[in-house]
Amino acid sequence: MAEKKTKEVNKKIPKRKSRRKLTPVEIFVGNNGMLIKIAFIVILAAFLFVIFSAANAKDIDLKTVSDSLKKDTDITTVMKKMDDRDLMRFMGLNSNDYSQVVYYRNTTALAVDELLIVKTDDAEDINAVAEAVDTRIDSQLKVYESYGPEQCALLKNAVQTKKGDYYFYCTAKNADIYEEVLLDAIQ
Amino acid sequence: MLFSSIFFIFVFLPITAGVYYLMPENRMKMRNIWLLILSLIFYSWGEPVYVFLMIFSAAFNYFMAILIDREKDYSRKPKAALTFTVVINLLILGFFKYWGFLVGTINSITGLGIREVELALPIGISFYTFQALSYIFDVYHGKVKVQTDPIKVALYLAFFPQLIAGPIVNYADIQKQFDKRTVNAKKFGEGAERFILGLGKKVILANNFGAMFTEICALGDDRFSCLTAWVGIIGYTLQIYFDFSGYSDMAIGLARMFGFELKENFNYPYISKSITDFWRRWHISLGSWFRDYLYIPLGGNRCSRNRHIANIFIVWALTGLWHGASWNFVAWGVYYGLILILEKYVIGDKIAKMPAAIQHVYTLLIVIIGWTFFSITDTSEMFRYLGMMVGVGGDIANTTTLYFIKSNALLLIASIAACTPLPIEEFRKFEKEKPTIGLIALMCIFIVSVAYLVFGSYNPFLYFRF
Repeated sequence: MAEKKTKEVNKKIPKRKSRRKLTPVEIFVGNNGMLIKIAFIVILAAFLFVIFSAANAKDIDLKTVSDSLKKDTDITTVMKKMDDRDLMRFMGLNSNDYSQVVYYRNTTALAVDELLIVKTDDAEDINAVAEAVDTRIDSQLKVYESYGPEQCALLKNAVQTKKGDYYFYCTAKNADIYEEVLLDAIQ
Repeated sequence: MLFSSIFFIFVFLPITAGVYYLMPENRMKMRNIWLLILSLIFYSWGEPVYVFLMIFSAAFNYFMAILIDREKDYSRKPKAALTFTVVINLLILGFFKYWGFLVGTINSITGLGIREVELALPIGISFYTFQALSYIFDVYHGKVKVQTDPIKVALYLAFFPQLIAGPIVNYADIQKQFDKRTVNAKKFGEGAERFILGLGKKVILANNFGAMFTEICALGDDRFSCLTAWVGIIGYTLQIYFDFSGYSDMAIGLARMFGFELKENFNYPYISKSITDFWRRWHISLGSWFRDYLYIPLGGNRCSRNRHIANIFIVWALTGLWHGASWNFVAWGVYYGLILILEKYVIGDKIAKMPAAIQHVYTLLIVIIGWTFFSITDTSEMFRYLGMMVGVGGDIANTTTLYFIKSNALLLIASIAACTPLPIEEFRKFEKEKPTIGLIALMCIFIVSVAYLVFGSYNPFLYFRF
């Protein structure tokens, strides 16, 4: 009877095929690896959370961004702030469809400099703005392709960024400086 | 960091190789550690945050392989540990590569408007994840012994020559080289030569074709024509080949400079006589991975015809999706799946009986049309381009066509020749007979490439985004 019980107990304990000594790493991994699996999941989840949070943006008022642009950059010497009608005319966008919009444009002849920042309510809106900007860049390229190499170069290097609820577009020599103002505000 | 950058060629590589060669030949562990440190610096140059993901992946797969091996050793079922490891690896790849695509697709079908967070794709994630999975599968199936040295596992995943765009190296092919490899001047010279030839392919040929294709795509409808569209896509066909095979040459050459032998990734794919043949010659390491770890486990061709057809479609849809989170890549994969099925069951024998010239034309036509799906991600633009190729909405040819053909004639002729083994075979013969002139020719390629790099703009490799 006792012998039978011992056999049953032995059956439950898994036996190693080989008799080699466990390495320190194998001991660290543990009997069924549960602890190390949990540790890896926790580390991965924390990393993904940080990455995901960094990709999101703070909820801010675009007026503060507009003020910073005026204060910290040369934007007012290059472009003028445009109104809702200009936004519709040049970009084909209705400001009422979006939470907030900032639109600057150089109004002198043969200038292609412009800056657009849109704060949207959902993802679909951001895609619609991106499409409108692509259309705008394409049409500008067509206008200048035969006689405006400098304008074409600026348009080809236009900065377009999506971050959280915000969409940034700028064709200008200092586009990256203007972009930094927005990113500093929302990150 | 790019191989084709002044900083890499004149600073990173000389320092890495210089210190490596100063280390005693019998201190392989020290050399491995040096290569690992430099590989992580190389990666963190462009990905300062995602280098942690790379380290995580190395640590995770190192421990999980040990766990799988232990589970086998204890006669337990190691399948649970294997499943866990595969799921986590695919979850990481899926999160960074396919999250935006998935959310976008759900939004477009349901109109839910779930927020799309644009995450930057960690460079090389598709390549190192597939390498990690090949190691894990091979440990599980007992094809390789589990590696207990974490440095070797990390170096296997992070080795800078093939970290960013392959070739995808199987652990079984490289494991012995971590302990024993020949490092000498001859191998260094061979590696340097291969690197220079790859650099030339990328900088002199691929980048110029890239500029031509970009220019053609940006043409307005009034200047576009059927023949211009063909010139453009032929340019892209040559660009992608010289870009990717150039990268592979540089990777194989660099690895050889450090004593490692990597398998070939290309074998003159554009001289293929069928699509089946083409896929044995193009991106060989990816094709082998899908064959060994997906197609054969699914049953391969040792099953019913219907099951075999399903297997081919699954493998090719996933091959397409591997290239990018976009439906055009899936369409590209399915397109090849369909043609491979047709070749296997319907037209294969007929094609084999045709004259060789017709076989080449057939293969190239299929491949060139395929690159249209691949190169233009916007569906409406892609159909516009395909329409132009069959003469919809434009002239057959115009002055713009002539301009592109005339201004790129020399480049086109030289590149078409370089798609065959002939130039390199002749160069090898010539090099044997007159080594000094061979060396001068190589130096010329190097100097011209560097001149292009100094005066050219930023031109990353096409396969970096995969």
